[in-house]
Amino acid sequence: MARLLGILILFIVLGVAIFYGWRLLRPASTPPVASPAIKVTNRPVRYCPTTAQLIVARVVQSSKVQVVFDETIPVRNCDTIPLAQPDLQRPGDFRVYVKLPKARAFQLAMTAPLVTQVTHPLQLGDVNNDNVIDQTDISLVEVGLKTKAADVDLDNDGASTVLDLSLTRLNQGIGVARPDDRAWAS
Amino acid sequence: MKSISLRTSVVLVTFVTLALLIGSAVLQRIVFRADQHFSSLTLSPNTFQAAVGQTVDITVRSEAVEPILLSGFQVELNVDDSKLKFQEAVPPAGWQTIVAEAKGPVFRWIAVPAPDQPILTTVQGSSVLGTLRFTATGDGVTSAAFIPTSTFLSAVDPVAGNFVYNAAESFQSAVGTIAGEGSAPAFPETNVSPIIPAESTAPKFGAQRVLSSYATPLSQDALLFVTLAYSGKLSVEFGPTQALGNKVEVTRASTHHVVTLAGLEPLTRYYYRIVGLDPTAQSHFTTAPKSFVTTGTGTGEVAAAKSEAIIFPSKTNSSTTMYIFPRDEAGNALGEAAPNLDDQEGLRIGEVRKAPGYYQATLSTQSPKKQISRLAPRIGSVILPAATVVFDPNYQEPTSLRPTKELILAWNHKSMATVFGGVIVLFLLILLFTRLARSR
Repeated sequence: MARLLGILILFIVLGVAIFYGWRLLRPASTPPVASPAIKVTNRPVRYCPTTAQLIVARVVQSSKVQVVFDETIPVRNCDTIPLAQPDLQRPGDFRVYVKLPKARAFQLAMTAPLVTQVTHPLQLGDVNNDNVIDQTDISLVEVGLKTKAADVDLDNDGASTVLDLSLTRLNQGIGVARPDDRAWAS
Repeated sequence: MKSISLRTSVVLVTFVTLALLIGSAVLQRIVFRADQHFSSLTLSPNTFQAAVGQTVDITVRSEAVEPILLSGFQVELNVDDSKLKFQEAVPPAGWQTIVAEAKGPVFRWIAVPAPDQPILTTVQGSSVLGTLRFTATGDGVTSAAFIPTSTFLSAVDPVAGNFVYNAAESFQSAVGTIAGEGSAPAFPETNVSPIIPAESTAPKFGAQRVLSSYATPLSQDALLFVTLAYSGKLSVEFGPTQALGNKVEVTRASTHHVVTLAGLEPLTRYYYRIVGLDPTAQSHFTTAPKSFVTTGTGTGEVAAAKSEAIIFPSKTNSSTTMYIFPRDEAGNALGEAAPNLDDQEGLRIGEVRKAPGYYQATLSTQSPKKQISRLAPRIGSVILPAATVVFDPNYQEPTSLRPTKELILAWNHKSMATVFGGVIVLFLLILLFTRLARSR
C-alpha cells in the first residue's frame, strides 16, 4: 500500500511539475530549427523584408578575411536568413555580414560547420539606407511625420508614426562596413 | 524494492514542491522579467465646461501600474472643430513637440524627449504627458475622443534588446459643455510639470492607485477630492513641512473620497500625500507629495472669477454632491455668502448647507435616461462658475481589480496565493490518501 501511495504521490508531483513547466516555458518555446540560419529578433510584426544582403568571409588570418559569398538572398518567414552556403559546412572560422533594408548592417563570427540557428537583434532606422542611423535619418522621419510620407514607415505598419521616430532615435549608430570596404547597396 | 515510508513521502513531496516554487520564481525572473507593460490614456478633466471665447485646457495623462520606458507619444483626437479650436500643445518639461496640427475634426500631436534630454523617460502611476489648449468657439455639448488606431505610447522593452512597442492599452475621452455666455472655471491642471508620477506610485503587489487628487484650500481647512481606480480606503498624511506629521483616515471604502483637512493656518503652505490600501488589503500605495497654500479669511464681496464650484463625483448613476467655494477678489474664502441653486428640469437639488468655509448640496435624479446637467450657483446677482455632472443610470463604480493576463508569470499576490494554495491542497490530498490507505 505504501508503495502505491508513493507512486501516487510521485504522479501528482510529476503532474504539478509538468503543469508549471508548461506554463512557464510556453511563451519561450520556439519551433525546431531545421537548418543553420540567422534569425533577427526585435522585428516589428509587420516589418517583413524579402531579401537581405549577405556576405560570408573566411578568416584567413587573425585580421584578414576572404570573401567567399556575396549576394542578395531571400529572407524566410520575414526574419530568417538561411546560411546554406557550402563553405559554411566546411570547418573553419567565418565572418558573416548582413544588411537588411532600413536597418544597420551587422556582423557575426561563426565557426563552421554550422548546426544551429543564431539570433541577432534588428536595428531599424536607416531611412536613407547609408548604413548609418544619425541625425539625418531622424530629420527625415520628423519631416515624414509632418507630411505622412510612406518612406519613413520603418515598421511597415501602414503609417508613419512616433514608433518609427523612436526606432530611429534609439538605434543611432554606424552599421558594420563590408569587408571589402565598398558601400552596401541601397 | 524497499517501500517508501509515509514520512519519507511527505518530506519528498515537500522538497519537490519547494524546489518547484523556487524554480518557478527563478525562471520567472530570468526568462520573463521586465516584460512589456501597458498604460491607459486619459483626458483630464473628463467632463469640462466653458463659455464661448474661453480657453479649454485638456491634460493628456498616462495611467500605468507598472513602469514604462517611454520614448515618445502620438495622440490623435477627434475634436469637433466647430466648437473647439486648437490653440497650442504644451509638452512636459524636457520634451519637444514634433507635430501639433488640427486638420478638420482630427487633431494630431507627436512629442518626444528634447535632443539634450535622455531618449527614454520612465512613467509610472499617473503621469501628465502634456496639455492641449483649445478655444471654445461654439456652444453645445462636445467631446474630445482618442482615435485608438493612431494613438501611440512609444515604449521600449530593454530586456528584449530595446524592442519598441505601443504601450497605449485603453483610452478615456472627455465630454464638455460650452455655454453661449457667462463665465466658466479655470481648470486646475494648467501647469505642465516634467513627466514624473504625479499621483500614486504603482503598488508592488496590486493594481489600486490614485487616479486623481485635487486640493481646494480654504482659510483654516482644505478639501481633498480623491479618485481611486477601485473602491478602497485611504488616509491622508499632511503637515506644514515635507515631514508631514498629521493624518486623516477614511474608513469607508469608495472610489471617490472627499477628505477634510482641518485646523490649518491661513496663508500657509501644506504638504500632503495619500496613503491607501489595495482593495484586497494585500498592499498599500502612496502618492508623490503635493502641496497647497491656504487662503486668508475673506472679508470683501464675492468674486465670480475667484470662486469655485465642484461636483464630485462628476459622473454618477443617481446622486452626487456639489461643493461651492465663494471667494473674494483676493481669493480668500468667504464664510458667509449663502449661495442658491436654481431648479433644473429632471434634477433634484437638496438644501444648500453651510460647512466651514464652503457650502454643499446634494444633487440627484430619478430619470432612467443619461443626462448631463450644468449648474451655476448664484449669490445675490453674482453667478459663480458652473460645474457639470453626468447622470448615467448604467454607470457603476469599479469595485474589483482589473483581470491580469498573467497567472503564474507575474510574481504578485495572486500568483503567490495560487502557488501556496496549490501546495496546501496538495498536502491535504496526500494527507487524505494516507488516511485512506491506513484505514484499509
